[in-house]
Amino acid sequence: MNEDIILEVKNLVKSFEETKALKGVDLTIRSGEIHGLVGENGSGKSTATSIIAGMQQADSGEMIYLGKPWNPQTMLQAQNLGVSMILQEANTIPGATVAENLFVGEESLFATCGFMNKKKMNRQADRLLDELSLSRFHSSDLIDSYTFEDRKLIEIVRVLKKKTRVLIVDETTTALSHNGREFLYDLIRKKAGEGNAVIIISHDLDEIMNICNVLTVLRDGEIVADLSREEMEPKKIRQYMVGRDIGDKYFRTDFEPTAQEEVTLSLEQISFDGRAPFDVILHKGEIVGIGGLSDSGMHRVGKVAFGIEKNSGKVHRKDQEIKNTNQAVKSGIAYISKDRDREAIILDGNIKENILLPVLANIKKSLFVSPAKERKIVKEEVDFLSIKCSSPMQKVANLSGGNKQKVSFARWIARDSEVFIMDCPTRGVDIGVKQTMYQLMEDMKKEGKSILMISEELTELIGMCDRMLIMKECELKKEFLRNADLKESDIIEYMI
Amino acid sequence: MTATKNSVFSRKNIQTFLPVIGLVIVIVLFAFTTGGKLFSAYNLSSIIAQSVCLTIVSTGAVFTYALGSLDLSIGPTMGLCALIAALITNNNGSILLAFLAALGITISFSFINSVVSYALHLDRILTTLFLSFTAGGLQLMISSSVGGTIYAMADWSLFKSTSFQFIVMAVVVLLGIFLFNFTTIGKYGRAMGSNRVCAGQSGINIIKYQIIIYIILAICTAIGSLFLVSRAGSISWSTGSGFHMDVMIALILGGMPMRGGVNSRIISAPIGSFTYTILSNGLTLSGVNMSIVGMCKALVFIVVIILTCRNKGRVIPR
Repeated sequence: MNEDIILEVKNLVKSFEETKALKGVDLTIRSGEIHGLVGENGSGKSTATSIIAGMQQADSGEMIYLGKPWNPQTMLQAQNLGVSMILQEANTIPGATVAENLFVGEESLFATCGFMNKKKMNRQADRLLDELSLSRFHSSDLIDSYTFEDRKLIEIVRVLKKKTRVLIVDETTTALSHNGREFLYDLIRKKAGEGNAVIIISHDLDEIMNICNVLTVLRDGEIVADLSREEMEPKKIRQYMVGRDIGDKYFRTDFEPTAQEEVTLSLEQISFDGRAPFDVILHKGEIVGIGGLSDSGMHRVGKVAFGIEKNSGKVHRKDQEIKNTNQAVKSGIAYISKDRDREAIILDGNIKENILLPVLANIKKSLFVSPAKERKIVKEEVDFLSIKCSSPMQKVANLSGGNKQKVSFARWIARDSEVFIMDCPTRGVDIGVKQTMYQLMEDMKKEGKSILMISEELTELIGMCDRMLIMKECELKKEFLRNADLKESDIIEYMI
Repeated sequence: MTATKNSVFSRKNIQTFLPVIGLVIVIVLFAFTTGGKLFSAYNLSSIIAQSVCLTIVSTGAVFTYALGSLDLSIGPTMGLCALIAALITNNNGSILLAFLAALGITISFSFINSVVSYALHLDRILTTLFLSFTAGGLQLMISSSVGGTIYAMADWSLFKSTSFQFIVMAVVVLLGIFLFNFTTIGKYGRAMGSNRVCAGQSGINIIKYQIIIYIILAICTAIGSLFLVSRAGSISWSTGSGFHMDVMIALILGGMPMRGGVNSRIISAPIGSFTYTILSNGLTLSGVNMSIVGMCKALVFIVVIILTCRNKGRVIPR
C-alpha cells in the first residue's frame, strides 16, 4: 500500500428513498493534497464528504483511513480521529460565547468535579485566536454579536484546532469576504503543507484553479473525471460537470451599456453611519451592479432600497416614497436576500407555498384564493425555471441549493415585479443554474425590468452589469460603465 | 436530490393521518369496552354537548397556534365572558346582548395580544400570561362582589339543544376550514409562524394579519363562552380556568405542531377535540374508576406524543 494515501474510498453507494445519490464512488486522498471536488448540485459531492465525515452512513462500500477500516458513526467521532468538516451553512451555536463555541464537546477539558472553569476556557480560546491573528474576536462575547462571516471563521477555527488529518471544506468560501477567503486559503495551504489533506467542495472554478492540486469531477453520483493540476482547465471542467458542451455563452455577449430613459428606482442621499451620502439610480431595462467587500455596506444598500433598513436618505419609485417593505412589494420591487434559508424561503414549507407567498396578494379576490389559479401559477414557474422536483408539494428543505435559489426567484417572477434587488443571486449555486440565472437576467433586462445586482463576485458583475458601483467602507468610491476591456484588477484597487 | 415520492405510506402522510387513526382507535376501543353504549342516542348527544365548546374554541385557536405561540389566556377569558353573560341574562338582558358583551371583552383582549406584543416586541406568550391574570382577577373580583357563584337563570334551552349545538359547531368548523385553507388569512398566518422574516419580505402586512387572526380566536371564544354558561349552569370565580390546557391537549391530539407554521392543519381542532372528549366520555362510560381516569388520559397522551411529535428524520446535508 502506498504510504502517501491517507484516505481511500471504494465503491461508495448511498440512496435516499428512490434517489441514488452515489452510485459507486472511488476516491483516493493523499498526503499534501488539496483535493477539489466539483459537480452540479445533486451530483453527490456533499453526500460523499458527509459520509466520510460521519454525518451519515453509506449503504455499501468501503473506506480505509490510515490503513484501517473507516466507518465513523458521528461527526464528533470522526473529528476526534482526525477527519473534520466545515459546512456550507453557519453551524455555530446561537446564545453561546465564542469560547463555548470553540470548545463544544470538549468542555471536560476545563472541568473539575463537574464544574466548568470558564476563565480557563476563555484564556485558552483567546490564546488560540491570537495564534491565528484573529485577536479581534473576544472569547467571552456572544457568538450572535458577530456577522455571518465571522461566525464562519469561528467555525473554521473550531474545526482546525484539532489534530486534523483530513479537512473537508464544503462550499464555505461563498460566505466569506476577500480577507476571510485569504485567511482560509492560508490555513488550507498550511494544513496540506504539513502532510495532511484537504478536500474542497466549491462551485467557484476560479477558486478551484487557484488552490487545488488535484480535482475530481462528479456527475449524477458518479465520478466522471480525475484531473491533475496540469489537466485542469475551466472549460473542460465545466463540460465534465454538465455532461454537455454548455458553449461559451455564459455572461452577456454585448458590451455596450444600455438602458431606457425612465427611472424605475432612485435612492437619494443614502448615507451609512454618518459617511458621505450617495445616490443610486436605476433605469428601465438596466442592470446596475454594486461590488465591494462584504462589509463595504453594499448589502445594506439593498436592504434600504427594499425598506428593510431605515436610512436618512430617501427611496423613490415612480413618485412614491418607499418607507417599508410592504410599500416596496406593492410598488413592484422584489428582493432576493443573500441569507436565502433564513429570509428568502420558508424551509419547512413546500415549493408551492413558497412560490405563492408574495403572489397571493395579487390573485386573491377579497380574501379567497382560488386553488386552481394557485396550481396554474406554480406549474408555470416550476416549468419556466425547470425547478427539479418530484412535485410542487416537495419540501424546499430537500432541494439542492440551486433549486432553492430558483424558488426564491420564482416567487417574484410570478408576482410580475418590475424592479429586482438581488443580493448575491448566485451564491452557492452551480454552473448550470448560474448560466440559467444569467440568461434569465438578460431576458428580464430585455423585457424592461430593472435589476440591482449586489455581488461579491467581480466576474459576474463585469459580465452582466450596464453600470457598476464600487463601494468601500460604506461609501460609493467609483462608477464603471460596461466595457469589453474592463478587468477585475482595474476594480479591485477601489475596493480595498 | 431526494425526490420523495408521495406514496400513501410516506412519513408525511402517516403524520397527517395519525390523528384520524387515533380518533378511530379511541372510538373502536370504547365501542367494545362500553358494550355499544358509546353510540346510544343519549350518549351521542352528551358527547356533542361536551365537545361543542372545545371544538369551537380550538378551531379559533388553530389560527393563533399556527402563528407559533401558545395562548394561556383562553381559559380565564372564557370564564370572565361566561360570568358577564350569566349576569346580563339574569338581569333580563337578551342572549344576544350577552354575546356582544362577551365579544367586546374577547376582542379587546385580542388587541392586546396582537398589537401590544407587536409594538413592544414581546413574545405573545407573555401578553397572554398577563391577560390570563387580568381576566382571572376580574372574574374573581366580579364574582365575589355579587356573592360568589352565579346561577344562570335565564332560558338557555336553545344552547342546550343538540341540533343547535351541532349546527353551530359544524358552521364554525367549516368556516374555519375555509378561512384556514382557502384565504390569505390562513396562508399568511402559517407562513408567519414558520418564518416571520420571509413573510415580511414577501410583502405581508404582519400586524394586520396578526390582528385579524386574534379576532378570529376572539369570536370563537365568545361563542364558546355562551355554551359554557348553558352547560355549566352556574358560574364561579374558577369557571373556565384550565380550559386553555384542554385546547392545547385537543390540538396536540389532533396533530397540531406546537411550533405552528406551515405544517399546521385546521382539521386538528375537530379531530383532537372529539378524540379528547370521547376519551373522557368513554373512560367514564366503561366504568373506569374516576380516581384513575386522570392516569389513563396521561397514558394515552404520552403514546400520542411519542407517535406524532418525534424528531422528523434527519436533514440530509448537501
